[in-house]
Amino acid sequence: MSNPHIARGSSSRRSSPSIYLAIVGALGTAVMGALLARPEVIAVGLPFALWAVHALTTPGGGTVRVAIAKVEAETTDRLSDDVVIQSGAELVEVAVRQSERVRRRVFVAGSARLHSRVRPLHSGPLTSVEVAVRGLDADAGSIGAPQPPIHVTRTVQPVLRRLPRLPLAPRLTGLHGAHEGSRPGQGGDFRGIHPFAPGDELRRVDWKATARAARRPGELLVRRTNSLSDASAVIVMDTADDLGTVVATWGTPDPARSGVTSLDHARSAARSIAAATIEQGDRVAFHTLALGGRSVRSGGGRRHLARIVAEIAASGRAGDDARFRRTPPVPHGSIIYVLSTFFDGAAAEIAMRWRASGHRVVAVDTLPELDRSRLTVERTLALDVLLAERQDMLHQLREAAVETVRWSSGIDGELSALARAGTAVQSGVGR
Amino acid sequence: MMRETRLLIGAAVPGALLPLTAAAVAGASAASIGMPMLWVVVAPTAVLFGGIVRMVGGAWIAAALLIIGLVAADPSPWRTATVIAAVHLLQVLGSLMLVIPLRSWIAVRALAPTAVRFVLVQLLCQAVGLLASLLPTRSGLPLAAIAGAAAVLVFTVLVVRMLATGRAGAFSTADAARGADGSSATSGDG
Repeated sequence: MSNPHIARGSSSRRSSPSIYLAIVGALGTAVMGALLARPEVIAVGLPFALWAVHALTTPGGGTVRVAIAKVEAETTDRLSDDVVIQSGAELVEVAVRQSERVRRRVFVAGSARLHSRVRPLHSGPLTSVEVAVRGLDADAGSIGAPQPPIHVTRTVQPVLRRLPRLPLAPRLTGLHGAHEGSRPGQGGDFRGIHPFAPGDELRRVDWKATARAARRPGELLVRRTNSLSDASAVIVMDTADDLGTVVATWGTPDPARSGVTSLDHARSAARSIAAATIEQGDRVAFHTLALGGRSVRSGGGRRHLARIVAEIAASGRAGDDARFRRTPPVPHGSIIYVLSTFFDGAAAEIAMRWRASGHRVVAVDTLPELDRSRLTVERTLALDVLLAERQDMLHQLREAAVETVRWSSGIDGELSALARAGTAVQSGVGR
Repeated sequence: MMRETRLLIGAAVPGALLPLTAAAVAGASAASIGMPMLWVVVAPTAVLFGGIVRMVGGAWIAAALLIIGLVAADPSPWRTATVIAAVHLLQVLGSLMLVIPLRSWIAVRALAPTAVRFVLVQLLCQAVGLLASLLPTRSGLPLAAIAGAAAVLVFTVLVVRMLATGRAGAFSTADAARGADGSSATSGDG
């Protein structure tokens, strides 16, 4: 079974042009010295001759084995990897690409250990180091065949923000949880006094109420309480776009200058919402909208949160078929957070469809604050048109009763306001 | 603030050091053997240009200029020693320059085999160069005749060895054939 972190290349080699130049030098000095009767000129050609003979007769160091070993860094803001090279070659050329953008070329001894350290600029999947090698012998007179590159991909955890309060799902389920349910049960607030019936526990008998309000001898009255229930939340992330703060970098793979991107915001929002949902005792599921995208089924607890966070951190930009979205299955009565830039209508259309089927839908706008510097007049105009279409899309969402918030510094206040509004609405209609 | 990416390979030198060293060697050698100032400037310039445009082979141009400078001057042991060391160094550095880009880095430990080999080859070549400098050149030892005689000698040795090899092969073939016959005879006797 092949390991992507270990490579072993072929041992085929070729000669450098310097060998032919050395042969020409040796023959030239020999002929010149002979013709001019100058033995010291012939002696000058001796280093050329010896060098060429050595380069032609050297067997080569064989194959070059290279492996990448992950190193657990002491801090979370950087990724460390060790590149281990083992070969019999005299010199090994190592082409390294770090953090998917910085290219370096170094020449090390046949057996060497390189240490790569990367400070990630964005969350999500990241190829921290990619390595290709070839062996060199006899002062690079004998050149080995380049080997296919190997790489290691790491996931960078998104930023976690504390969200003190989240809006609630329209329908509560189950007999356990942190929310006041609508069915009789245990753990909730006082529901009422009822005559004793089969199934009631004796410890629920309210003796004072029985003494005061029993209408017949032998009649017992019991206190009944509401059950505690949990809610279901679904986090849906649109991975079609990854747009940075700097508009001039849109369409170019330049993570160093793009600033914070929409997927950074989306991953941070997804992680924060998932953590807050689990913390308040609810169930949460995670889906990406791309075809064949990632999915984590609904569940609760810290292990489930760890699974979801791992999937969120591993969610990168979708491929070329990103414009075709799927509609993930969601539990009845869920609250659905749709995380998108809403530049195209696909995510908004799915959100409105879910809202029409009775779910509570919160559209989280993940587009970062835009930096319009270095934009031409034409591109500025195009951006204005795009933003106008996006505003129109968000307006349509609000008209369809989809609540919209923007993932920014004031997101906790906006979500708390939504939670209060949702509580008022739900208490008005009953649960 | 930490740099965004770092790659640690131990003690290292930049790849640009190779053409700079080669240019310094070419310039210093050209000056020390008494070449005209024009060539003292041209030799390192050719090396530097070859460091940028590798196909030019600037190191070998500089080596050729040094050899021409040696030929143009009167025979001298120290001049011969200087040129032997310089052309060897230019050959080694030129070969490395063909594959090592200017912006790359070279681990110092990786250059150790090159340095050791250079010293060993220089010990031999300097000794040969010193002997060659001591040979009389103008008084009656035509080197062409010596080279021709050496060529005849080498040719003769090669021919003798080839014939010996062929004869040995013929003997081994005959022995093998005889052995085969003997074994069949033995089996026939049995």
